[in-house]
Amino acid sequence: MDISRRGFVKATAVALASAAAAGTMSSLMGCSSGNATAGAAGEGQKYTAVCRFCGCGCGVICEVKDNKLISVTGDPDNQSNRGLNCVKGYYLAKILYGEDRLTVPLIRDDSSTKGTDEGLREATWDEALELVSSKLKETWKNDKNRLAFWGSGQQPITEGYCTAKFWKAGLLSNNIDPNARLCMASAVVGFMNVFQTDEPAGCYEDFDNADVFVTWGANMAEAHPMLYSRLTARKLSGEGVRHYDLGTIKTRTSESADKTMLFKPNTDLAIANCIANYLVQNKLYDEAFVNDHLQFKQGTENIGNATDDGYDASDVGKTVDDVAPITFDEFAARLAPYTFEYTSELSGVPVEDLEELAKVFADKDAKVMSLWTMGVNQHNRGTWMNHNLYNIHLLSGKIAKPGCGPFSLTGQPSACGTAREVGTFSHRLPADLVVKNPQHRRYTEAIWDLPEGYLDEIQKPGMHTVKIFREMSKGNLGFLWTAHNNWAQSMPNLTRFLGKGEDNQGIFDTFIVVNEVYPTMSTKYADVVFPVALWVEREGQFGNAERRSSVFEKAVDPPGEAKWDLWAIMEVARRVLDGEQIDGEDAFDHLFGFIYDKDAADFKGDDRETNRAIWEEYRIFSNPSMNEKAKAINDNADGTFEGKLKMEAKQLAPYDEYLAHHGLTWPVREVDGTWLPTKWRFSNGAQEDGFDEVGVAQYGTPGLANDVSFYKSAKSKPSVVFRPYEPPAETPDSEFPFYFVTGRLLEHWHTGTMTRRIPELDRALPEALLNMSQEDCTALGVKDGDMVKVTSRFGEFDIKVSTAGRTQPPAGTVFAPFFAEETLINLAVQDTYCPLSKEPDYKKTCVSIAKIEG
Amino acid sequence: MKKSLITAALVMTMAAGLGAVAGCSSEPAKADVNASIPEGAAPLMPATHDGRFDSLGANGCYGCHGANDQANPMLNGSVALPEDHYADGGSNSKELEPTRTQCITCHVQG
Repeated sequence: MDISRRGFVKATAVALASAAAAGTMSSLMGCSSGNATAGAAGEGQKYTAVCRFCGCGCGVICEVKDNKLISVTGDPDNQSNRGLNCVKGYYLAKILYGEDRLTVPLIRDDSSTKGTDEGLREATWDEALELVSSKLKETWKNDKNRLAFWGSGQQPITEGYCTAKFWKAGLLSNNIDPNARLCMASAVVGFMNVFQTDEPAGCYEDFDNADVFVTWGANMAEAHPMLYSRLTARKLSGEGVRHYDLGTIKTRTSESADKTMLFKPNTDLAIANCIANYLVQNKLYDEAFVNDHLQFKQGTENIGNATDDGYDASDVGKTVDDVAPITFDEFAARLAPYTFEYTSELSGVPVEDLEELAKVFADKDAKVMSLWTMGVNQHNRGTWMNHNLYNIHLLSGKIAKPGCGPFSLTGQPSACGTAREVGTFSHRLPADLVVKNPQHRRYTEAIWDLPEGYLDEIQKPGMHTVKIFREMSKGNLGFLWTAHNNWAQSMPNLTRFLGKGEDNQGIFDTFIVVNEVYPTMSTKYADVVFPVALWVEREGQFGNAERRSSVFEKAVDPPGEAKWDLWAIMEVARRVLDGEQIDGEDAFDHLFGFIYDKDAADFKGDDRETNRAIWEEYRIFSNPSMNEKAKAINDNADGTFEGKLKMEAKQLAPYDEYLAHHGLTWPVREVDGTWLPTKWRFSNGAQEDGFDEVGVAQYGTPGLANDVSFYKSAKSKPSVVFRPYEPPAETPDSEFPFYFVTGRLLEHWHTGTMTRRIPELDRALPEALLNMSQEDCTALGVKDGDMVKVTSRFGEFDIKVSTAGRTQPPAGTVFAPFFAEETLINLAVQDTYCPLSKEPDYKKTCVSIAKIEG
Repeated sequence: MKKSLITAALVMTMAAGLGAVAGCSSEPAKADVNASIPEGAAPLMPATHDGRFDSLGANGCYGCHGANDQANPMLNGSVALPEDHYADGGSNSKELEPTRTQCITCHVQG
């Protein structure tokens, strides 16, 4: 599809002429024009909100009549989407009203019924809460290593904050991790390694200013529809705007690309190095930028694969994070093997295409945006690939200025806001702080009013996601609580984790609590199900990929006995912490007395007041001047620590500012009594125009190359770390000859538990199909509609074949989406993860495919 | 490449146009697909348009649902694009607003 402006106008003229020729003009027939998207009737009460689904974080307006959500439309005042929406957003109103909403607590008395549709009975909240609390307390008292909480990038910010506080300060446990581990962890480790601060320097406005887009392993047309609309809009309205699409399969995103480059799995590492090599060998990098801003390193290589349980503790596993400084010349020497010829041979991308792409980065005037998601992150070298993308943008100085920059797209509505910014990871504390750093622990103790040294007990990180489920499968987990996710469908290697074989039966012995809104694969394995409020049935906040925090207001009441997740967490916390003390005070009151009255078993205020109170405490982390003790630690006032924390680099505004502005991008700065967002971090310029004036003035140096100052990085210099090409964990052989890629498609969100209950979306995309090339079909003797068995070293599943699916894989590669629980593709997906980020590689399990006869 | 695309658009659009004269579509429209969509939601495609956007892009949609000097929409029985889908906020521009050219992002198959 050609989508340049000129092409579009010309083709439209043709369409006009042909319609006229056919003599079907509606004016002649008396047809009137419709106005289908003019918005809702406008009679109901309206609330501002943020979409429940992907990481775009589109603002929406909810309209309510008689306590029922009747319409959801794009919010023109939210600057992330400016009124745009996608089909999932338009049908949000229906996600609340599926026929099988869970409205009463459920208890399973016989764990042998797990995995079936039977065995759950209705219970009172009191019985369910008592049971869960007694199990958690028993496990906690006996062996703290045997409990875990698995959260989510869909958990609202204040809920994630309170969950982390309960787990880390209340239970003194680091066994808490989010499903964002499956999604964004490689991006996070990349950001921390390169910049020592998480999340992009740029913003969505860069889409409106870029000259060249490069998508790396990202099917934005289906997974980030609103941003893709902005990309194609820029392509249509800008002069000579180009788009290069790089991936291992052709997708809808390839449709608008000027050039699609299909590479062999993992050779994206080599392609990025090839571009860097071209820039360095030909002195086409930005020399002033390199001199002013960059330091060079290399790290541990030949790191093998994290397939076995013992990997993290192995000799190489323990050294994967190590790096050492090198000179620019040494860096250049490491790149030297990545010539166009070598890279072309390795990747299968023609030399002239590689050269064309390299020249994009060499063009000093071109504003280039690199965009990536799961193809890069769900990668056995996912962290390395994030590094290599930053390397080419840093060498060319194409970062932190409008229209320019490496932009890591995020998958979930609050992977940034909650999982990353609050820090619901096993190694994190709020606001980029980590448990192993004593200054970070002291700072957190100051804000949570804990005695000095109280958090030293949690200085060792807890279990990451894959480890939680591996340990569970071996019977080493006594208690697991999950919320805002559907692990029994979304985790890889479900054959093992769901106890499908003879071994690994641990799931049947682990006491599992699931917060849910509908029956899912995960509730089939739950011992207790808490029925909870869905989306705008309570107030919450999401933080999206461009650092925008936005509030969604409570619009309707939850159905039946369904309750706000946070209420269930408070009710369990007060029971488990009963009799415990912190600093001579009741432990629960010490942590949560500011919002919760345990005698009344309820919050002290309404949804708004509760959220505001939590936000105002959370906000101290990025506003140290609000707390004298925290401020002294942030400033390193007594010289105890290595330096300043610079916590203001993520500064958040007072809660009501977010309601007034329909979301703000952090850092948010108070200038003459007004709170102003930052669109381009580290870039000096007027704060009112969205530049980081306040941050650069406080901690940075103005006047350096590009007038950028990376003030949060060590020595104010981001790290360019050389990372070589290393192969996938598995490569096709005669037994398993195909690469199997998994992913998301437009109509369905993740495991489909919400979108498949919307009849219109279910009809639009009713089943998961295995996309295959005609060449592979012919070789295997299968045709469209045939059922096949897909088998890997990890497990197997049955699926229907299609050569006309959404994606067009090349011969040797197949694709299927993961939204359909009846087509449980994760039974066969490897749980091998990136050794640095511990994020699984969902994109290249090797499989065999055989036709099922009959 | 561009030329062949335009030719394809011509052929496809003529075919669609003739189809309309003969009674709209080779398949009967699934009339009820938009019966219970939420207020303000993007309507679904009631007729089968499989592959049309994929091969023609927004042009393939505009040819029937867009406006020309004589009519809005161009094809009898087609739902007209709302005014906010046009550049400069109105159908007089005869050109789509650039952010509205990914038609299938909102209007999925019914």
